[in-house]
Amino acid sequence: MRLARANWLTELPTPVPLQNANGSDNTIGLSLSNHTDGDAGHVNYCDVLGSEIRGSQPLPVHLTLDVGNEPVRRLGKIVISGGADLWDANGSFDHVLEGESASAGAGCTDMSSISNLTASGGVYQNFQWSAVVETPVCRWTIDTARLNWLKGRGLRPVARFHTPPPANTRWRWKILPTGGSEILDQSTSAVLDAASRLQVLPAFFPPLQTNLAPFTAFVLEGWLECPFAGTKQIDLDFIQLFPLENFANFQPVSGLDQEHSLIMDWPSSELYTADSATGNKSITHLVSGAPMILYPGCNHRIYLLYETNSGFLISDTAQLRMTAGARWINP
Amino acid sequence: MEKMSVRLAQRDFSAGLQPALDLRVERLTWKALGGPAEAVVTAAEPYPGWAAQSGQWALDALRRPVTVTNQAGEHAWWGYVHRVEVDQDGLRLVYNLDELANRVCVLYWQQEPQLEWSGERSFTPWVDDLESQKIYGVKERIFRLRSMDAAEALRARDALLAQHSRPQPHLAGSRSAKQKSQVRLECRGWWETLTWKMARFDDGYEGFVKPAQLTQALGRSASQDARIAQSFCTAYGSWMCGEAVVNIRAVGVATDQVVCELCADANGIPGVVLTGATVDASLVSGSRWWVKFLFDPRVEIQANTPYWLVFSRSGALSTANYYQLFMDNSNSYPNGKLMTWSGTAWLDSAGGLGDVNFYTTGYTARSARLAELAAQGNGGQFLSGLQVQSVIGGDTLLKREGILDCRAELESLLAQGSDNASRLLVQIEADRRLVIYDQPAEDAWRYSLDGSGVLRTRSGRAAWSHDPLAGQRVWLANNWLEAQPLIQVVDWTPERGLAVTW
Repeated sequence: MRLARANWLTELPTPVPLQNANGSDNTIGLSLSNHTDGDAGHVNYCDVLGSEIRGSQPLPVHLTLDVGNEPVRRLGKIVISGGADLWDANGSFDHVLEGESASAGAGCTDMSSISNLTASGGVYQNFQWSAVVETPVCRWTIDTARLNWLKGRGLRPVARFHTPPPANTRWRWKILPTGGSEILDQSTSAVLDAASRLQVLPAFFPPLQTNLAPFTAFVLEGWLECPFAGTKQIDLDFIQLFPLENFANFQPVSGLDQEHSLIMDWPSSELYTADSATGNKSITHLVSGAPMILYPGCNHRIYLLYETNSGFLISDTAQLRMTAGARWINP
Repeated sequence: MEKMSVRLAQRDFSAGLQPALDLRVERLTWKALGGPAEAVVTAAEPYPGWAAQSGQWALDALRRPVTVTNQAGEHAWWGYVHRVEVDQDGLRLVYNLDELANRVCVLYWQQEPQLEWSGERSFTPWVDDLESQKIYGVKERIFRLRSMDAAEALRARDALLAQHSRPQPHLAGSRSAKQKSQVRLECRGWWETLTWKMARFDDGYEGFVKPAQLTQALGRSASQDARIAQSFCTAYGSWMCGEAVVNIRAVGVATDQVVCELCADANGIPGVVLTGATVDASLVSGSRWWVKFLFDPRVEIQANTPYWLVFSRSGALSTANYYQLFMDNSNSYPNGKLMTWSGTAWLDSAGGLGDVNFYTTGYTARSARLAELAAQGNGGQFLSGLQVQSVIGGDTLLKREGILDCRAELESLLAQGSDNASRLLVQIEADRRLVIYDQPAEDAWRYSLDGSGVLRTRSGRAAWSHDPLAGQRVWLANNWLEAQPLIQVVDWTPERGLAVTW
C-alpha cells in the first residue's frame, strides 16, 4: 500500500482568541457593535494577535456569527472583511469615513448635518444634487496616515444610509490628486439598492500599488447619478473602508433569525445556518467574495456590518467566533 | 492571475442556488461596441453519473444570465448562456440558441401580372410560440423562401416555427472513453440579444398613392384653382414631416415654381403655415410623375390632428401654362380631403370626397429611434434601460420594413456619429443598461501600456478585468505609436491575463 498526502499538513481546528473594546482572549463569541464611533464599546471589528496564529502557511478560518436571543429580528445583508497588519501597539487603520466629515463635491447643491441619536456619532449628513447625469456630490481626503496602513491594498467601501437612497441611483468613485482635478482612477458604477440602508459600494484602489510607505494623500470623490429631474438627496451616515482581500458579501436567501448562527467554513467553502438549540442546518444566505485567511505572525482585524428586518440599527450587536487549524509545510 | 467566479441566475434574473459544477473561466472577451461579448466556461463532471442528466441541465442552462466576478468582488463579465456542450453516453451534444426562433414569418415571392410575369415580395403574418418565448425570450426570424402562393407560405411558416421553437441537440462528435466528461458553456453578451428582434416600424408614409385617373388643375384660374389643399391626419404621432410628394404634370410651358406649404388646421380649412418648399417647373415634366417637396425645417405632426398641404404657383396664373395633379372623387383617402380656393373661400372638392395622389414622408429624431430600438418591446427585451451620454442630433426615416435586426439598425444609426463628429460607442453595463457615449478624444487616455506589457490606470495600478478597457484609449509608454489607440477588443485568459488589440 502506498499512501500519498498533500505537501502540507493541517492541525485540527482550535478556537482563535479575539479581542476588542468589549473583551479580550475571547473564544466563545465576542460582541461586535454594528458601527464604530467614539462611544465606549462601539466597535464593529475585532482583532487577532499575530502571536496567536501559528503555522507556516496562510490558514482559512471557520467563522461563526451568533445572533443571540434578543432582540427578535432577522439579519439580511451581512458583510465581513478583514486584513493583516491594520493595527499594532501604536495605532490602527481608521476605517470610518463619517458622512459629516465629507465636503461637498462640485455637483452638490446643498448639504447639511442632521443630529440624530440613531446615527453613528449622533449625526448624519444629507447631500443634495440636481443633475441627471453623473456628478460629484461628496468627497473625502484619504490622508497619509490611512494610506500608510493600507500600503496600496484595495478597499471595498460599505455605506450606511440613514434613509434608503432614491431609486435608480448609481455610485462611482473617482480618485483625484489633492488640489488637482485630473482623474487618476475611477471605479465601476454600482446601482444602489433603493430598499436598503446598507450599501456595498464599488471597490477602489489607492494610487501606487506598493508597500513602500509613506504615500501622498488623495481625494476620494463620490459621483452620483440619478435620472430623475429635480432635487435628489442622500442621507449618509458613514462609509467604512473594508480591505478587499478578505471581503465577503452574504446575500440573504431568507435571513438569519435570532437563536441561529451563520457558519462559514472557508476551508471547505461551506456556508450554512444552524439552529442554536437543535443544530439543524439550513441555507439562509449565499456568499460571494474572498475567504477569510489569517497569516501566521501577523496581527489581523476583522470587520462586520449587517442589516436586519428592522433596518440598519447601529445599536445592534452580534457575536463572532472563529476556529482555525494551523497549516505547516514542514511541521 | 485573477481568480474568477461564475454565477448563473434564473432566466428572470432572480438569484438562485448554483449548479453543482465547478465552473471555470477559459476565456472572456469584451468589445468597444457592446462591452462584454463572449465567455467560455467549462466544468468537469461533478460526480459519476451526472452525465445522465446533463442534457436536461444543458437545456435548463440556455439563456440563463451569467455573471463572472473577479477576486476583487467586481463584476468583470456579464451576459447569458448561448451554447452548451455536454458529454452524454460517449457523445458530445451541443445545445445552441443560434437556430432558435419562436416568432417567425416567411418572406416569399408571389407571381404578379405586370409587363412580364414577375414576383412581388410578400411577407406572411408573424406567428408566435408563446411558451418558448416565455422560457427564452422572443427570438424572431424571417425565413426567405422561393416563389409560392400565400397558403403555401403560411404552411411553411407554421412548420418552420414548430421546427425551431425549441433548441435541438446536435451531435458534435463522439468522445473517447479516456477523455474526462466535461461541460462547456459558450456565453454571449447582452448586446447579442439585440439581434433577436427585427427593427420594424410600420408608420411613416401617409397618403393616397394608387394611381388616380381624374385631374385637378393648379395655377390656372383665380376663382377655381389658384390654390388647392389636401388634408391628412394620422392616428400615430408625434413624428416629423420631412417631405410631401405629389403626382403632378405640367401643361404647356411653365417657368415658375410649384409651392407646397404645410399648414395647421383652422376649423376644417388650412390655417397657419408651418413650413414650405418649392420645386422648379423645370423639374415637372409633361408626363405624370412624383415630385418631392423637401421641408426645412421639418414639422412635428401630432396624432389625430389634421394638417394641410396647400399647393400654389409662384408665377402668374395662366390658362395655357399650368399644372395638373391627379385625383379621384370617391374618398380614396378617408383621413383627409381636397379643397380648392375660390378666391374668397375654401370649397370642398367633389362634395368632400375628392383626394389628390400624394404622400408624406415621416422622420423621427435619431435619438428617439435609438431609444425605440433599445426599448423592451423591441431589441432591448433583456435590457434595463438606456443612457445616451452623447449629443445625437439629426433625423432618420420613421418607417423600417423589418429586414434588419435591431442591433444592425442601431449600429447604422451609431455609424453616423455624434454631433461632435465623434464615433459613437456602446457598452452594456452589469445591470444591463445600454450606454451610448462618444469615443474618447485622442488625448483622453485612461490607461497606459507599460514597457513590460502591463496595462495600468493613470494612478499606476495594474488594470483589472472589471475595468472597462474596451472603447478606451491607451497611452503606449514605450512610444510605439505617436497616437493613443482606441482599444477595440480585450481578451482575458487564465494563462495570459488581459490582452488588448486595437
